[in-house]
Amino acid sequence: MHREGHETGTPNGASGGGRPRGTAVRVGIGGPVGGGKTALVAALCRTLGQRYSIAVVTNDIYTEEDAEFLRRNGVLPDERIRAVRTGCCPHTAIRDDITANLDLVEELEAEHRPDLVLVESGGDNLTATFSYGLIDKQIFVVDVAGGDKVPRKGGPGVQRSDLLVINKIDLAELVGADLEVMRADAKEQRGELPTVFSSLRTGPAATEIADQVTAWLPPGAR
Amino acid sequence: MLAALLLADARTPLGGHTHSGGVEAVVRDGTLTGVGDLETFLRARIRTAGLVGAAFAAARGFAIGELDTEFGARTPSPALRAASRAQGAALRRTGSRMWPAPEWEILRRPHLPIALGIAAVASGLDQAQAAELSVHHLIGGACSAAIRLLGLDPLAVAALSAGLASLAEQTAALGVSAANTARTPAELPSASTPFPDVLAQLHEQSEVSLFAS
Ligand SMILES: Nc1nc2c(ncn2[C@@H]2O[C@H](COP(=O)(O)OP(=O)(O)O)[C@@H](O)[C@H]2O)c(=O)[nH]1
Ligand SMILES: [Mg+2]
Repeated sequence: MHREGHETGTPNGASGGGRPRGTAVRVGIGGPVGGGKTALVAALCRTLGQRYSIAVVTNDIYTEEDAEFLRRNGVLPDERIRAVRTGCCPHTAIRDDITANLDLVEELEAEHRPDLVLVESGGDNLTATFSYGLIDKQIFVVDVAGGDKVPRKGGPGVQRSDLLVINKIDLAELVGADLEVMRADAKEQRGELPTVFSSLRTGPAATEIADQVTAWLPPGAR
Repeated sequence: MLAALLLADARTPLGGHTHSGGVEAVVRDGTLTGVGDLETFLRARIRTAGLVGAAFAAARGFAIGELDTEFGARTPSPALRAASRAQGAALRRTGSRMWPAPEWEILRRPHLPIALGIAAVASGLDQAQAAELSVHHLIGGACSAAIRLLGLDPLAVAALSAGLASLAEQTAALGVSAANTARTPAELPSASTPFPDVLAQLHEQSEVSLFAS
């Protein structure tokens, strides 16, 4: 696993401040623990990996499990996956102090010139959200197993993410979640912003979500 | 003064929150279990790593690259060198936006105390302020990590931080005088605590870790 930090601090490269813009579009994937963020990263890599060059930064806590999951599934070569250890504060690392994430994103951009960088947040609660200093677009993933009240609770991810994904609809009946209630609440909270219902179990290609991500990429990307 | 407060403020995004200053390693090891242990740990670290960091942050008139090399030589653990550079790079990223200066362009990933020295000069702080900031970050990083990892009483830890202030100030002052008497960067202090260095190396290799260092 590649860790933060280089051994040498030699000559100046990228400017010290701000976002030296490469060509990559950066997409944050946030949401509570277990909603399906890693499963979605894997799905996007599978579905878009042939057409686009992709790299991934994961912020999962405890182990580097997410990165290992992606590796095991063979969706991305090792050197295109980096992990941030967030010091028990996954939301801080994607919102208030994004420097550790920027470090790894820029490293991947410099080494691989990807079209798309996916940044998976560590699992957090409904109030977590990405800073637009780190990413260009963000997807917020919740699941029906968390209860059909989740969209009604709102929070910045539900209300303002560029795409809301309500995942695990294959489980809706089992957990007694009413998808129409969730649809109406999401609409109420989000206005014109898009919401997608998905099951990464029964539809592992995540076609609808991949189409949305593709629309965020510049037409020039190969 | 305001610049010093901004540099001391955990809300300023300087990358510190992902580092525990060696605390996670000694917590896992079972050596640090409470506020009392934290104080013992910090008193040892302030006198050693704290003094070295303070002297390097306060050093003026030396070539930045030479200071950086000398600090690296005082950090035998590759994991700690990487952690120091990661934090220096974060400080450079944010600090160069807050106080632009040509010195930021010399190194892309300076060691943390070197970056702090550059920030201090660029923002108009004096040597004592730079040295105190360096010790303050050592204490603050360890304290907040201990609170998160062990669930320590944050009020008790705040009281501990206040109680360490005089040792921190004395150490910063020693760092400044060492910086001013050194004729070359090689003559700057080199005190260390080998145990945390060894543990940092084990931390880097462990599968389960919450902090980058
Ligand atoms: N039934 C079902 N399980 C899913 C779906 N998506 C993900 N999972 C499972 O939910 C668990 C958590 O998914 P993961 O992607 O690790 O969630 P993360 O914590 O948000 O990254 C894993 O066991 C996945 O296999 C889905 O659409 N339906
Ligand atoms: Mg995950």
